[in-house]
This record gives sequence, C-alpha cells and structure tokens, in this order.
Amino acid sequence: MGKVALITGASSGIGRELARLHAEKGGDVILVARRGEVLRQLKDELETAWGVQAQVIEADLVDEKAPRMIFEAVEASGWEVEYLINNAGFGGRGKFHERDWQDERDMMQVNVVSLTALTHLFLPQMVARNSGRILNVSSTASLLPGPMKAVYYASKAFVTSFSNAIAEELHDTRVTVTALLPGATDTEFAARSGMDKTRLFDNAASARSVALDGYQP
Amino acid sequence: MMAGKLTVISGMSFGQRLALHLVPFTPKKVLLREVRKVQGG
Repeated sequence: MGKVALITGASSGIGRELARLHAEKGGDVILVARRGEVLRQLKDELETAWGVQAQVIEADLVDEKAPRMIFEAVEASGWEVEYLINNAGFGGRGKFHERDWQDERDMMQVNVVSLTALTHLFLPQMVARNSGRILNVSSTASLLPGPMKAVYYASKAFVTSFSNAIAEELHDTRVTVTALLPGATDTEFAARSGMDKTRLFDNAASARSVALDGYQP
Repeated sequence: MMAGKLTVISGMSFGQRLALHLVPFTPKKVLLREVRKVQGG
C-alpha cells in the first residue's frame, strides 16, 4: 500500500490536481467532497491509470459533524493518513453588511473550523508515529485585509497563521505543516465565488501548476 | 510536499510577487483602497 493522502475538496481544481499528482507518485488517496459521483469518476480514473487504491468519502464540510464523520470513516477502513491536504474552501464577494450571513458563516465553517477540526483529529496520530505532512491550502489573500471579500481574506489569514504556528510547535518531530498560498487560480471555485470577474483573474494560474508547487515529494 | 517549508506562494507573476513584498511598506489606507478596486468595489 502506498502512502495515503486525504484530500478535501478533491472533486475539482487544485484538490483534484493534488489527488492526481499523489496517485502519479504511487500514493493511495482518500477523496473527500460533496459531489460523490464526481469523486467516484476520479477514483476510477486514478485506480485505472496508476494502479493505486482510492476511497471516496462524500461529505459537506459546512456540516460541523463532517470532520468527525470523515475521521471515523478513515478509522473504520484501517487506512493510515500520512498526508492531510486541507484544500476545501470557498469565497464570496460583496460588501460585508450586504452579504448573506449564512453564506459568511458557512465560509468560516469550511475555511476555518472544518480545516482546524480535521487537523486536530489527524495530527495526534502523525505525532505518535513521528511521521506525516499537512498541507493547508490558504491564499495570497491571507497576507492582507480584503475589502469586498472581508470574511474570505480573514479566513485565509487564519489558515496561514494557524499553519505556521503549529509547524513551529512540531519543530522537534518529523511532522511538517505547510501553507500553500495560491494567487489567482483558474478553478470552478473562482467562478462560483464571482472572483473570476475581477481583473485579478486576467492572468490566473492553472490548478495543475499550483498543485505542482504545493506537492513536491 | 515540501517537507519543512512553512509557506509556498504559487501562481503569481514576477510583478505580483514584487507587489506582495511591498505590502508591509505600503500605507494601510492606500493598500485597502487598491485591494478594494482590484476586487471590483
């Protein structure tokens, strides 16, 4: 069995490319996202092309119970997660006071709370084994405040700060934590969030190139 | 994955990377105004 990577938001964009890269290197994958049918197609693709094993876990990280459900499903399978890739996230554009509160709340749940919960669930095993890598997909938006996307930028600031902080806490282990900060990237996420309409996305990078930067064996 | 690397910046042109490095030296109000404009506000 190859080293196992659990990837959230694996159904499209950077997450899907990270899954492909890991499989190309002979690693097994646990694919997590809402769209089960898309994940099952990706599972078939990876198993056929690279001879690896893939698991699908359908989960919506807006649901606060999702991280625990994912952890328990992995435990039940007997697989040991060596790479945790917290990629799922979404954004939204508009003045904060005019945006729908539920959308903002859901964004914080997925981008911040679920990412932190999954890290809290899987990290103790990595520390006990003295082996593991966590890749948290943040954004260059984490480096400054973001008028018109206030909650999104703030949520990514959390991801980078949190990742850097726990990386230092783990300095005496062989567990690493990396924050990946993509700039404008051409993904479904960008289109869905209305971000691709801004001039920031005129020269957006491909999801594959960003995934390659994040994944260096 | 880059073992031990804290932060990996990706998908930015040279000019964008340069601008990012200037963020700490840019007056906050100027920075906020520019981000707002870029985001279509």
